[in-house]
Amino acid sequence: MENFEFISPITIKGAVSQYKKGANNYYLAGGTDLIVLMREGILVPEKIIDLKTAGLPSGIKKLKTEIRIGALATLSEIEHSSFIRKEIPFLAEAAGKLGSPLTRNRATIGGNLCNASPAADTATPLIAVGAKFILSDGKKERRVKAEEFFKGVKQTVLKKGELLKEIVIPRSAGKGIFYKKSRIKLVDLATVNMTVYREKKKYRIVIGACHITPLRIRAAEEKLNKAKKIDLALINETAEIVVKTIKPISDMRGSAEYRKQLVETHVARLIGELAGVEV
Amino acid sequence: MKNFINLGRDVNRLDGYDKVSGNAKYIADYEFPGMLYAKVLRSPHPHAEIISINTSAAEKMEGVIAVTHSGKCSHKMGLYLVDRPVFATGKVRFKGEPVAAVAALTEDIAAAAIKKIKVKYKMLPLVDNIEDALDKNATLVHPDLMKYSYLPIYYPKKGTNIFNHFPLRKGDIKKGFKQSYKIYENEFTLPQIQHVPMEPHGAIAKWDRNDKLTVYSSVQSPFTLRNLLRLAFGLSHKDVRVIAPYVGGGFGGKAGINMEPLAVALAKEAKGKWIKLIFSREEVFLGTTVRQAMRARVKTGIAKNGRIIAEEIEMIFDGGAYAEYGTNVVRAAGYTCIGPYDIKNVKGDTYGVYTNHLVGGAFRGFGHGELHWAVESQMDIIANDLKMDPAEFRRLNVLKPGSINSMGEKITKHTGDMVACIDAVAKDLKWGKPSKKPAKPYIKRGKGLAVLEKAPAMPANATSCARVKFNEDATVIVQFSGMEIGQGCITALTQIAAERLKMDVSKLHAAGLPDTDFSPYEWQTVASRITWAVGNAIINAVDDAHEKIKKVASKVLKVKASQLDIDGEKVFVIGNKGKSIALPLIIMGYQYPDGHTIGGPVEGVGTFTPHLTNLDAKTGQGHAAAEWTFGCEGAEIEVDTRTGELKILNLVGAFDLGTVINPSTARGQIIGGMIQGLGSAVLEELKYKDGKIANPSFVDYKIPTAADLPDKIKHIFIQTPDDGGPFGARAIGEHPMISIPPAIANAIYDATGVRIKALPLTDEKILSSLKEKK
Repeated sequence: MENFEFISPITIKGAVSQYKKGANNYYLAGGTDLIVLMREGILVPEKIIDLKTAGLPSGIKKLKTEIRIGALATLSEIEHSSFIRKEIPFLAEAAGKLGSPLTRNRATIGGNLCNASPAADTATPLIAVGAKFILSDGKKERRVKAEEFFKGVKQTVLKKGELLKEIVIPRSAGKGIFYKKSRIKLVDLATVNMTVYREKKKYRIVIGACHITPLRIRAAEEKLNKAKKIDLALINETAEIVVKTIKPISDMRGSAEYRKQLVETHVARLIGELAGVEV
Repeated sequence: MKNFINLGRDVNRLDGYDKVSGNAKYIADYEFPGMLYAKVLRSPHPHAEIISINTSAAEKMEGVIAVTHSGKCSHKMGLYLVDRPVFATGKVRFKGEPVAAVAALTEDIAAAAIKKIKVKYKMLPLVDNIEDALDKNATLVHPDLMKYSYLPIYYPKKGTNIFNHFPLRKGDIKKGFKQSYKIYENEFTLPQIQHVPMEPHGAIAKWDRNDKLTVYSSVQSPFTLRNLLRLAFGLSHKDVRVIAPYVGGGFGGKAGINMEPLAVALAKEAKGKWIKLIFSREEVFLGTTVRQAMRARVKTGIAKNGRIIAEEIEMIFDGGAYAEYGTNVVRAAGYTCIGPYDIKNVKGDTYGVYTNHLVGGAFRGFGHGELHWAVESQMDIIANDLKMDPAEFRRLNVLKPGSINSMGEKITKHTGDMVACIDAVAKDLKWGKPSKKPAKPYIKRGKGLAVLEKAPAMPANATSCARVKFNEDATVIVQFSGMEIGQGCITALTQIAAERLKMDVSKLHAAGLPDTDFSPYEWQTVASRITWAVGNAIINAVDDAHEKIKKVASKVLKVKASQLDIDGEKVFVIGNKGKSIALPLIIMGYQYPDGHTIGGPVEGVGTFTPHLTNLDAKTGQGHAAAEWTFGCEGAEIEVDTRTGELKILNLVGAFDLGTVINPSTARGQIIGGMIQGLGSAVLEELKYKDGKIANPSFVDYKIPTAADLPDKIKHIFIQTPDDGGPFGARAIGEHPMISIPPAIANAIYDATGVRIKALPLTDEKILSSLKEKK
């Protein structure tokens, strides 16, 4: 690993201004993606700006109408939070299926999202539950919907230096299910992952690792939302729409064709489980 | 079963305290004053000519002490076929091959210096698979093959990429097929896989100014390493010392000679300095050996009564860029080519070919996981086609007392009981009864089993030596050089010594970590042979010590030595236990009341050499198996036919391992082996793209975690004593890995009707096979 300058700012403003001073500076949260890339020589940062000292929120807050998760909350915290497990169990499950316990003790939810992998495990539950992300450039804050945050592989709406500060999740009585297929049950990347969410008979379907970003499939949702009765035929038609919408690639973890077959079967199963239909 | 005092007992691992307390030292833990740290520059290309190497910028760097490459170190190495240079010489033959190395004051400096070495390459045509290698106009990976030195039991082919061809001929194959009622022909393949030991490879070397070489290494074979280092670097055995700390897993990947010469070459350039080279995980993937890939064609002729009467088998191993140790994998697979079956007419041709892939070498199973994948899939195909029960078909055809095996050896009742292994697995799987009905109609369940056999694959002169040393208080130190690589040999061998000494094992201490200057000779810790071979040497050492005690006692007690016996506490006259001498009074010499003393400190030395012969060059007939271990493995699985997802409900293995020395460590070996077998069955595969490994890390090379284990996993001991083994014990180290893949593939067939002939049996492959079947 090459030498780099390590900076511990004490404010978000300080972090952003340090970041903007060069073209090759990186924020450090948990470091579980960054350090691997540095070790492989893929990234050679000039400055590493540690966000853990910069006054970013870290915990999980239960408010009356919303839940707030600080960007620096670790995946372990989310996985084990009794509150998250009760209220958004599919998010706790997704967090708990990322990497190994060692990784989850370091890795942050902010890092998982800003790394913007199409397979990011925490992305599909947050999009499905209608989360919003609070972004900060040290001076101003803005809110974006989780589903609008991702722009491409490793690309987000974040402007240069801008940070993900906090995640806001509306409290609701909806029910969601997260599913992840990987080659081994733990310590693996997703071949596909997905969340199907239902609230007041309205569905949200979000598929991961099958497109340049995690993808919400609105046409499929509408099919379900418009239906008077959800039966097996409708579920299969919905799953077909999902498969036609996604554009998976073939890689080490599975071929595009295999991914499509996994999505078709599992999205139908998740819808069936929420709708109480045997699939 | 005999009444043993120390055997068949769960003696706690004698290395247990060291390992759970962190007291155990591994190679990476060693630090010496003034130590230098090494890094290796590796080839980015799978096949290219080296036009030039410029190291001047690296040499000028502050903190860089030594730089070396083929220009300074042109030595070759290899256990069986000396074809592998320490540094790529003239050309690189695989991506990851060492081209140069640097020793510096710190690892960071060495890593930075490596990047400053400039190498110019000119691309050469890629030999990317077995087909490329065997092509009539194939590029030769080693044009100088016939100039290399090799043992005369191997047969390289001039002007080809074939580094060894092992033929086996038994009976009359033409006649056998002519008489056959049905003939089956199938092709099976499997990819290269990595051992992935928990501990990465490492070595520390110092070359003194008086040309004495000391090497610490994470090694399975300290004496063979010493021998190969001395050959490579032109030294005398007396001037090379190898010290072996605990090893964190070997599985064959630390057998023979590996990365040690890289550290030694640097040590030679920086005389008097310790050079430490520890591989990263990525380097373990790129720069150590792997299990060879294989393609097998099996043709089997069956008589009307279901007996196999002819088999023709061709196996081609992808040995990678260098053959060296892998040469013997080809031979071992070749002489066992038909598996544990009684077949009259056999034609076997086993080849190893060079490619531009990672170097193939020893891997748990040593060719047998590969050959049984083909043979045990084939047997299932035949049984199912004949509408015979696959277990019954095997019972009918496997080796039994009186059978003659592939290389002409006669099976006796002492060889082991194959049928008992099949029966035990069948019973556990409730064979013949359908699986419990799954909850969903698209989930299919099935059962499968597969048999196996393996003998230690070793040359006829693979010898062992052991010593037992009495201390003043009549406790005993046992010395041997079988390496503790996690298998529990220190504990098992000490139990064997204690049993022969008629002492409780708590009175013994095992000096089980070898130093070639002080420890007794041992060929290698490979081939599942240590408990068996070293156990025999230890028995001989105890007997030698006892003879020495009796010799002195006979003078004191004024009886013939033959009238004396020894228990754990005293030497006594047979039939008159009152006439005795307590051991502490004699094992340092016996002192008479007047003070004069006869005898001296008692040390027993024992050796063991297996009785083997070379095999006939044309027919492969002879005696290459010192002992056999038979086994059977079974699986019950379910497949989600909509997603291809495979779930292992039950894995079971029954092995005839003779007398069980330590049930707990034997169980550990078996369960561990079965799980490694599971990894090779359903997950593991080194994938190439343009001749380069595309998954050289745990990100995309997956092995099972605890969460991936079967719902149920069971081991069964069958204990037919081996008449040549210590107290009737035989080998068990490698065997549990061998037939898990065919057992699972056969179960998948039983569940779904889909036959997969290429490992690994991934969910994706199962799903695509199900689609094809439709």
